[in-house]
Amino acid sequence: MEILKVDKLCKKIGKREILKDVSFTINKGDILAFIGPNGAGKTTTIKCILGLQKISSGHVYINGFDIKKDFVKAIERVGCIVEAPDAYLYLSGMENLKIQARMYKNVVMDDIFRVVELVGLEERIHDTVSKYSLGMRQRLGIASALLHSPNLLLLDEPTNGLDPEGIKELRTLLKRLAKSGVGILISSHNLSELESFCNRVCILSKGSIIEETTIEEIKEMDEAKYILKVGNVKSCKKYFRDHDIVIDEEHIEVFRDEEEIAKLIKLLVENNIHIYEVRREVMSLEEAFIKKSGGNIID
Amino acid sequence: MIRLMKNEVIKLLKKKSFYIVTLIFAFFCILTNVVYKVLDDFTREEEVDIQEIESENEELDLTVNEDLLIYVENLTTLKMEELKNEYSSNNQKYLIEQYLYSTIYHLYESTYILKDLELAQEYELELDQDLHYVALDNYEYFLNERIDYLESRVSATTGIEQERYKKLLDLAIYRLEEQVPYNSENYLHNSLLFLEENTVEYVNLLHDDDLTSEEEARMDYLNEQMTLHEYVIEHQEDIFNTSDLRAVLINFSGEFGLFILIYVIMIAGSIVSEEYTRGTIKSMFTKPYKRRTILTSKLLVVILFVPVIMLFMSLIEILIGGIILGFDSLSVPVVLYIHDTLITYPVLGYLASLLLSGIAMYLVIGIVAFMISTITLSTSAAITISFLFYLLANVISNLALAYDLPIFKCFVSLYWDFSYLVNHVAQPFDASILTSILVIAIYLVIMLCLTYVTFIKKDVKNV
Repeated sequence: MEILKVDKLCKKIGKREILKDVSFTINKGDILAFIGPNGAGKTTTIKCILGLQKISSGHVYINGFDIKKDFVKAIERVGCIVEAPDAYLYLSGMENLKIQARMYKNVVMDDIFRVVELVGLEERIHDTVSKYSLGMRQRLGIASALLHSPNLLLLDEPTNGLDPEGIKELRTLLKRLAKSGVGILISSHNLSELESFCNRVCILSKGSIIEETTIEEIKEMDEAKYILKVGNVKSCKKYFRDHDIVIDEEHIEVFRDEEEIAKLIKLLVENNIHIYEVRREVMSLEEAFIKKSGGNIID
Repeated sequence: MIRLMKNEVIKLLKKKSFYIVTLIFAFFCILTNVVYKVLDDFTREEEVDIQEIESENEELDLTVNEDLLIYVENLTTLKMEELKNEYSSNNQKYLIEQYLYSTIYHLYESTYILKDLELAQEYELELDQDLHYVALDNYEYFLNERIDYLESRVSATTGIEQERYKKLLDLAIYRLEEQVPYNSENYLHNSLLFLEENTVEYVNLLHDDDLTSEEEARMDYLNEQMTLHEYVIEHQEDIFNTSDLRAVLINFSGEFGLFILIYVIMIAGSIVSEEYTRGTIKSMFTKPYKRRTILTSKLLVVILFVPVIMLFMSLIEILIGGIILGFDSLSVPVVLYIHDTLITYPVLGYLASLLLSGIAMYLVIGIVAFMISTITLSTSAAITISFLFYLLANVISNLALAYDLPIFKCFVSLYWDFSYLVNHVAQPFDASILTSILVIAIYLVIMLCLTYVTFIKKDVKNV
């Protein structure tokens, strides 16, 4: 079932096009990794989805409701963290949650206790937020995003400030939520963290989506990475393509699909180049992305 | 909506700045009340320069008649001062001042001018007797003598003169019946003294058909003061006291107006912009409420805050003032003399009316702060500009009093003060209540439109 549908979303500020025809969907149980370099438009997309910024053209439907026309109904079952987990620093974590809870009609005290337990903040929940570490604020942010049991979660860089233990817990939590049918959009610059638990990937570059696919598809793209150990690296160079890399005097790294790698090996052998080893490597999400977005560096 | 408002109130009540201002205000209250209390202890007394009089006497030529008269007068003054120094209590000084002058004068007159030593001796005896009663602090003795004298004058005179004596006689009888001692700490005494001192002049002016403008002004002043003092002795209410809680409260709306302003601008100027600077606006905007509902809840909190903070401040002042100055004076009404009639308010009612009459002003300034806060998203800009607006408003009001330029008529500060209704005077700029309300409403509507449009249209920018 479609929870979020983004349809040809465009955002212009002045003459500058920030987003160009961004379209994707999130279904029940999806964890969509939203990745792209700084300035690609990740946060802007999330803000447009949430109605925080005006949409120049295109549509966003959440649970079937148009965010522009039916804001209140569309936003009702959305939980989010945008940019940073913002809270009233002079209030305690509990007071912050109570304030958030009061803005929903059906959230009761039990819900507050449930989310506090979920993010493991029980011991410090009555301290003022100004005394929290960034990681604890992040947990508080996640707690308040989950207060009203949303079926769509939009998390903008939620792993910021979390320690490895916290990231692991978050990963488990999100997997569990997805299993219960929540659709999750998660943006992060730490791609290796997303890789292990998202099931779909959306790659954004310069305001456009350049790839929307499943994680397996990206990992098992036709082009795979092979490391070859050869006798003479220099004489191989004429058979290289753009992205192929010389690792050291004996090793080269090439991107080919299965047919192509067979042809390459045959070619090298025919030209009297010794091949000592051919090893197929699984591409990381990051590498796949770099390749896809034309070598842009991700930070 | 109620839930959103409740949130706003909680956020507001948890703010440190709110408590800091409240603390400063409480401190200010304590200071003010102490000042009111201490000021009363300074009793003003006319200093007589004894040396100057003595040296004047030495220069006089006692063979000249006129100089002799001055000499006798000076001697009397010196003797009075001597006696007043001798008898220490306030009451005794009053008795000397009130009752011994003529005896002493006659004593010196008979000695130096009439040169009748027998007569002088008689006066000396009389003075001794009087001083005996002064020593006993027995004002009733003097009072009875005065009543006898005044009664004889009333039956011996006619017309204006009789009227004067009659009035003085009434005052003396009142003092005797009500047992009002000569004591400046007794408010009845102060009012009686004022009436006694001014009755003769007042009756004279009353019967003078040809008053100069100066005399007319004096007449108006006496009219007001005599009426008020008569009210005091008739109702036995201490309305002239300047060192009780009642006096502080009468001046409350003026003296504490600045604090109301600080509170209102502080709250209204930060309620929107702070959400943006904290980033919490994003979590508000992603809740199932329309933006205009969110803004309305904030606006309502600001509007309700104005009377609530006034009530809160009044309570603090009444509590602190009551502890320092006592609560008794709250039962004494506020008496205003307006167009030859007296209007009385219960003191808390008067305070409430004065504060209410200023609400329009605080509301306008609050909405200015609210608007600037929403448009600029800067708390400091909102606070600064609102204060400047208030100062400018005062300047324009003052200019408008001096110059009748049509451009001033458009400015809201000419209309936002309704205290003239409470004090029953004319609106300083000749505007009717309806015009005032209309102008204020137009200002509010324009500002609120700008605020709403900005708030609803504004994108939440990326950080």
